[in-house]
Amino acid sequence: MYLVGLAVCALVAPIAASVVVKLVRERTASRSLARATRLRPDAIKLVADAVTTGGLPAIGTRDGRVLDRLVVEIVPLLRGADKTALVLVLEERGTVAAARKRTYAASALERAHAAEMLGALGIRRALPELARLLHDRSEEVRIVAARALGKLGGARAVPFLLASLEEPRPVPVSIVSMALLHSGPAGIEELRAGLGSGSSTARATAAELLGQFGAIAASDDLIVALADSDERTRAAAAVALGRIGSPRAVEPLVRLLGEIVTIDERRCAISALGAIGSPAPAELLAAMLDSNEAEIPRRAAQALGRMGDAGRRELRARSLEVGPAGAHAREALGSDSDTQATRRLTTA
Amino acid sequence: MPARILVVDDDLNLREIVVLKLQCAGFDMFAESDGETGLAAARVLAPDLILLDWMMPKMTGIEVCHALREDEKTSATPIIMLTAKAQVEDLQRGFMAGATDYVVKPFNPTELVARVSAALERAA
Repeated sequence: MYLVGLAVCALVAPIAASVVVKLVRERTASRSLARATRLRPDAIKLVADAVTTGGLPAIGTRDGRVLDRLVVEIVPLLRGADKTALVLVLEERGTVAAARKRTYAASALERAHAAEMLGALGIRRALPELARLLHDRSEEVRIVAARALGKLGGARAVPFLLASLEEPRPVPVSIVSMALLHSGPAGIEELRAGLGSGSSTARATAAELLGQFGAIAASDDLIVALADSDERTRAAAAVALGRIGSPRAVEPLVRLLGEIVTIDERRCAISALGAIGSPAPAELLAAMLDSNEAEIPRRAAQALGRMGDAGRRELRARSLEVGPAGAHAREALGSDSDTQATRRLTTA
Repeated sequence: MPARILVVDDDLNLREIVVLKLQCAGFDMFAESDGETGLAAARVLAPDLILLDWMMPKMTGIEVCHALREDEKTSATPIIMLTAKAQVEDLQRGFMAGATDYVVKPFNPTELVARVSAALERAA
């Protein structure tokens, strides 16, 4: 009997505990929501300068924390003087200083919240704290810190973001790339310097971003990067040169195609040549229509299609052929030309 | 009599900021949180100007814009699109749907008040 009771208790106790935890969580969430609903008008009135900061709940209290969170949600919606004024309110309340302190908190959640707040408010002098959090022991904190640095904008965060790609605690490349993109083109010089980084991931990311920003000034650095020891960097440099559209890159890209490189690099180099649009490599690309490598003939045909008269001449010549090369050529020439070529083929 | 303005946006914070800022500038404000109720409200209220978000539940701002232009009652009402979509193609789509003006998010409330006033003056 005793054993049966014990077994029942063992079964019921965890269920009861989880029900209690769920109830407590729901109650906390509901209180927090009620608090936010009550305080939202005050937060909104701050935008219209219709409430004095002296009348607001003190920092550190539950109401104060909720109000600060509401203001932090509002700031990214705004531009101009109203945004600056709201940030100033949080500065005066001591919220910003408290957030900078909380980047040292024992709890990872606290550190992440602090980083998020500093990024949303665009507190540029918090750069050292955010840069430190890029190497935090918690991956979530590292990710939040990278995003926050991206929101700060400007050039100063770029070297820190590129360095965060290195081991032993790297920030995921996609997160760093997005943060760098958000930082804007002000950091082009820092990205150029990043092409000389010891980390191949950092070099490849820097090359990619220089292309995204269309950094013409970085063309020569990217041409040098086509000979990088790392294949991802070479491929990223090829893509970037295509985006920039620098005619100086044609010869180095053709040279790259002549070397023993990965298929990915070849694909990138071919597309880059198409994007630049110089007619010089038209013959070489036409020869690639016969390649057995995956995607290469299609990319070559697409590149020729973007090359103007010289490219289209090559495509028209090949479009009469039966087989994959002819099909790719016809596809690149477009539906009208496709129909004409098919008609000619049928007549032949 | 103050001009009547309807703001349709699913973001509560943004809606309230716009309402408060324009109220302070002397306008009579109405607000809705989705495209469908926004369209219904526009037909009932016949506001002097409509501020319209692009991405909204139930009906997008573009769909609302088309519907408003097809309705005799609202066909001439100035519509300002208030949206994060800032590409030239988006602007084109907005204007082709019948938008009068465009304000990109994040937005400057002072600029919004100026654009609203200018659009109302042009429509008068």
